[in-house]
Amino acid sequence: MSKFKVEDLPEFLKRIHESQVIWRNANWKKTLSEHNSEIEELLKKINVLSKWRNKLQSSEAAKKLFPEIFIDAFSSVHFACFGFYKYANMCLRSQLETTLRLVFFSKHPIEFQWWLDGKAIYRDIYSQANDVWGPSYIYFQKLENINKFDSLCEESKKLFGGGNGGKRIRNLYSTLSQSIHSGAGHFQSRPDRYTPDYSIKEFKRWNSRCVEVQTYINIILALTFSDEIKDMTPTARNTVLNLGIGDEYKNIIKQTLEL
Amino acid sequence: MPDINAIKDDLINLLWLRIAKEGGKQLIPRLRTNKKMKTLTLTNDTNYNEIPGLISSQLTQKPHVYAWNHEYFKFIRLETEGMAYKVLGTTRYEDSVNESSGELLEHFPFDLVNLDFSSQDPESENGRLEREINGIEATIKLQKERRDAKKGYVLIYTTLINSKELDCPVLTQNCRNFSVSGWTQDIQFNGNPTVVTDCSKKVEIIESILNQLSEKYGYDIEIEKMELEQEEGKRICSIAGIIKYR
Repeated sequence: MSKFKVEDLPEFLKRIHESQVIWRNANWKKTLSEHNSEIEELLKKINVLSKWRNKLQSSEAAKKLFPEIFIDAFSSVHFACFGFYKYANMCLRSQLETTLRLVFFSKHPIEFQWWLDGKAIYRDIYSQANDVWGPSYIYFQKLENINKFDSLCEESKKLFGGGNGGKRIRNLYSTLSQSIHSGAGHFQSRPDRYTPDYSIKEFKRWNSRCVEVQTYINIILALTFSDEIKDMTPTARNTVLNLGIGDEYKNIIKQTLEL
Repeated sequence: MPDINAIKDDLINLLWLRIAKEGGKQLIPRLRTNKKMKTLTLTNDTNYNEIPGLISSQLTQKPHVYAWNHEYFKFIRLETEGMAYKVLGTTRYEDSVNESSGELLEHFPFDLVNLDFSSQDPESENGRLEREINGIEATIKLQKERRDAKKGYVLIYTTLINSKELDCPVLTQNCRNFSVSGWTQDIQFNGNPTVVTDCSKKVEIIESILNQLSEKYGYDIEIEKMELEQEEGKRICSIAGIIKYR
C-alpha cells in the first residue's frame, strides 16, 4: 500500500484535502465542545438499537437491515458534527425508511426476496406506490397495535393518523425528504458560505429531528414486535421504554401492549 | 474500588495467558512458536489486551482472532482498532450461540474460547448467570460437534458474581434441553439447593457444572480459577481450563 503524502497529491485533490482537514476538524471540535451532552444523550438513544438487534436474531430481514439502520444513525451524527446538515438529514430519512421496510419485510419473506433481488414488483402490485409497503402508510395504519396506539394518543401525537399536528411519522418523513430533493430551505450551501460550517440553529434542528427519528423507530419496533419486547429482560425493556421511547410516549406504549 | 480494566489486566497476566500457553503446548505440540490458535474472545473496546498478549506470546496471529461485543458503538470501535481479523456481535453472545441461523456458528470450532461476560455490560437482574451458563454449554456442544481434528481447546469463562439469586432448577432444566445421546442424568448440586445467593457457593456451582459436563461431552478438564473483588458484594470470577477430548 502506498504511503500517504500530502505533497504528492495532484493539484485539485491537494487543495480540497488541505481545506477539508481544516473545516472538518474545526466543525467537529466546535460541535462537540458546544453540544457534547446532547450528542451523548443521542448516542445512548441510538445504542438502544442493540436491544432490538438482540431480540430479532432469527429474522432474516433484521439480520440484513439492522446494520444499515444503525449505520444510517451513526453516519447522520458524523455528518451533523462535520457541519453537513443536509446529508445528516438524508441519513435520518434512510434510517426511518429502512425501519419501516424491516417491519414490512419481517412479515413478508417473499416480498423481501424480491426486494433483495432488486425487483420493484410492488410498483406492479400497487399503483402509486412509492415504497414496498404500498401507497401512503395505509399498511401500518391497519396493523392492530399501531391502530390501537394511535387511538390512545391525542390528535397531535398520533404517528400515522390524526389531524393537525398528527401524522407525525408521515410529516417527519416528508420534512427529511426535502433534504433528499434539495427543497428550498433545505440546502447545504448558504448564499454567504459554501464550505460546511457549524451552525447552532442547524445543529439544534437536526438534533431535534434525530431524537424524533430514534423515538419513532423504537415505538414502531415495540408495536410491531410486541412479543419480542415482552420477552426482553426487564433491564433491556426498561432501556427501550425509558431511553429509546421516552416520557412522551412510553405510558401509551405500556397501555397499548399491556406491559 | 478497583478499575474493571485493571482487574482484566490482572486476569490476563496471572491466569489467561498462562493457561493459554499451557493449552497451546499440550494441544498443538508440533509447533513451538506461531501456533495460530483460532481464537474467539468476548472483549470490550477499551481493554482488549488479551489479544496483543496472545499474539506476542506467539499463540495466535491477527488472521485467527475473532472478537465479540454486544453493542453497536463498541463493535465499531473494535473494528476500527483492527486488532482482530473479524469483529462479531451486536447481540448478546449467550443468546446468539443458541441461535441456529446465526453468523457465529459458521466460525466454529476454535482453539481458544475466551468468554469474558464481565466485559459485556452484564445486566443486573436475576437470570443472567443462568443464561451465561446456558451459553457455555451451547459453546461446549458446538465445539464438540464441529471439532474436526482438534484434540481440544482452551476455555475461559469470566463473569460478575454478585448476590442476585442463582436458580438451580433453571440450571438443571437448561442442561436437560441439550440432549446428548446416551446421557440421561441431570446435573447435581451439593445439598440440592433451590436458590443460591452466596458468592462462593455460586463459584462452586459453576466449577461443578463444568466438571459434570465433562462426563456429558466426553472431555477431561483441569480447572484453575481466580477471583478479584470489584466492590463490596461483587467479584469478578474467572475459571479457565484446557479441555481435552477423550
